[in-house]
Amino acid sequence: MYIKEVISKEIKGELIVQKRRREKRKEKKEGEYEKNVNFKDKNRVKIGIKCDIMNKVRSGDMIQLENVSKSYKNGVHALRDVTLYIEEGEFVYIIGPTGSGKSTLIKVLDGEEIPDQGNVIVAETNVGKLKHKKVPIYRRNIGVVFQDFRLLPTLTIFENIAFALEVIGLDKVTIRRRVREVLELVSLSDKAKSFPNELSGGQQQRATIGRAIANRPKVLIADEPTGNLDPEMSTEIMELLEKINEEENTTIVMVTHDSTLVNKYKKRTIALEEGYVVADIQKGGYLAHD
Amino acid sequence: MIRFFRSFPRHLKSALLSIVRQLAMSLSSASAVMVTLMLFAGFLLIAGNIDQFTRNIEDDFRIHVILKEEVVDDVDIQNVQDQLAALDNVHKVTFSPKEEELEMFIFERGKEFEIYRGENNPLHHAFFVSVKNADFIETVTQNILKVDGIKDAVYGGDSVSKMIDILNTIRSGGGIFLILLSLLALFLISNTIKMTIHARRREISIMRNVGATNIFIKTPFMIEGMIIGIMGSIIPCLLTFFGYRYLFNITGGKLVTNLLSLRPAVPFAIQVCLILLGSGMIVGLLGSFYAVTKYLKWKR
Repeated sequence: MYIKEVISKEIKGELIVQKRRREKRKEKKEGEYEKNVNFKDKNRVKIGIKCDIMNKVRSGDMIQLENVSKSYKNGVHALRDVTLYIEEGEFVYIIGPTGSGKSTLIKVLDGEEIPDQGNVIVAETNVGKLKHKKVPIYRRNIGVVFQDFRLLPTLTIFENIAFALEVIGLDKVTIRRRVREVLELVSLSDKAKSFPNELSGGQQQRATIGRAIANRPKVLIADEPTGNLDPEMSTEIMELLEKINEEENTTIVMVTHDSTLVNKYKKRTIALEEGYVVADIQKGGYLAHD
Repeated sequence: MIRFFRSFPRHLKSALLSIVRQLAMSLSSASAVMVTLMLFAGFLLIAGNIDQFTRNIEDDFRIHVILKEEVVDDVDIQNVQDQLAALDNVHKVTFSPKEEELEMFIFERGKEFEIYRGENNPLHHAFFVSVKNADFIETVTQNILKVDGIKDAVYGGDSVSKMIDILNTIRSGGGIFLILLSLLALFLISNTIKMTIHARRREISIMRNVGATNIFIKTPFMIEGMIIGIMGSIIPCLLTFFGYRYLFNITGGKLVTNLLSLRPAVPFAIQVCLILLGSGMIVGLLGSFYAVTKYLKWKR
């Protein structure tokens, strides 16, 4: 009896060692694989609308807003004469009180709203001039973290993230690998098979971030990405965003209310108020509004 | 195009998944399809049979042209036949030699007339003239009587021609009704599917948010519509086939007389089934196509 137990324990131990070795090998392989697949060159579709203003695109600018105004039918002036230049690889905060035009700014960058005046140029694409059917193709260049998450309710978290990769026509194996990677990154691996309504706000938030970064976009626009998270998780997300910013050289535009974060991770900060840009501080830090 | 076919299994899978995950919605759409298709099937069956009745009666509706006794040699007969064929509105002229006439006579009147077979045949050669349109039968008959060498020309009479008038009215009226009904079906079904998709318009806009092209979004919805159409046409198809076969069997394939004989179940009911299946599919496809296109424009 005793001998049997010892033997079985030994066998188990051996098995565990083998399993660890296998996992290590796998990790190594995946790392190598990642180097080989270059999302940026392979699957990006360029749809830059070439026109006279394209000559004015300053090289190195990823996002360029020139005299952009936007007002809604109900008479609200959401943006007034906004001019902004954001360089490639920059990390920018957009701050401001409610109703200051932050959401509209994001909608204009995302192509959801067409500016009344001025040009919005993102990744060499004149966003305001895009045709309806070209808008989704443009969006493959940018990842957006929506405040209201916008996860597909009928798909699981895994499928939701995979969907963003399926639409650009990646093959199944690559998609599966990348989705697992992303889930690991936003620490949601255990929720892969859950549906969005089974997750907490913070978990949905992280899923949205995962989906936005899955296809390694050139620009990441985040609307209150830490809005539903506790401070600890917020820090984690900030570190994640910084990592993406540094490693992938992704331009990040982050709208936030969280003054502690803005003060802790000092970046270029743009303040909006009633549709105007009221401050653009390179060294960062939260503004005290009076 | 290659990409479309490569991603087709994916679209099919997502269409099936969304049917299963929203089973109640799918079933309600399918039942809307079902109800309209049942109506449609009923009318197709009736219209098809009325068409058959009219044809039967029209086929039977020929002018019996009896030649004079002296017209016997081939040249003369051919001559008369040519003249008949040259008349306006004449569809077909069939020669019926007097031996055949006698056989028909025997068949109609009874065996005691068999004694006239052979040399004693008192009948004349004849023609059967069918007309292009039953309306012209009277004028054609009169024209035939003017031709040389013709003893008599008779047709069924006014009552038969009235019957044909009635059936024709039903037939053309039924055609219009059928067109109206199919338009109604299209409207009903596309509306139901529109309601199904309305609940998912947010989903559609999210798909655009993540970079899905319009075709990529539309395809699974269209497949879904097609499958719903097929689902909705199964019961009407079964009902049509078995119901019609039952009806055909208990009536013995005819209503009252041989003239009103029903179409046999095997080719006819199956044809109707195929029409139902096809129209269910097409209507489902079109309905969801229009609905998705509408909601694609909902947000940029």
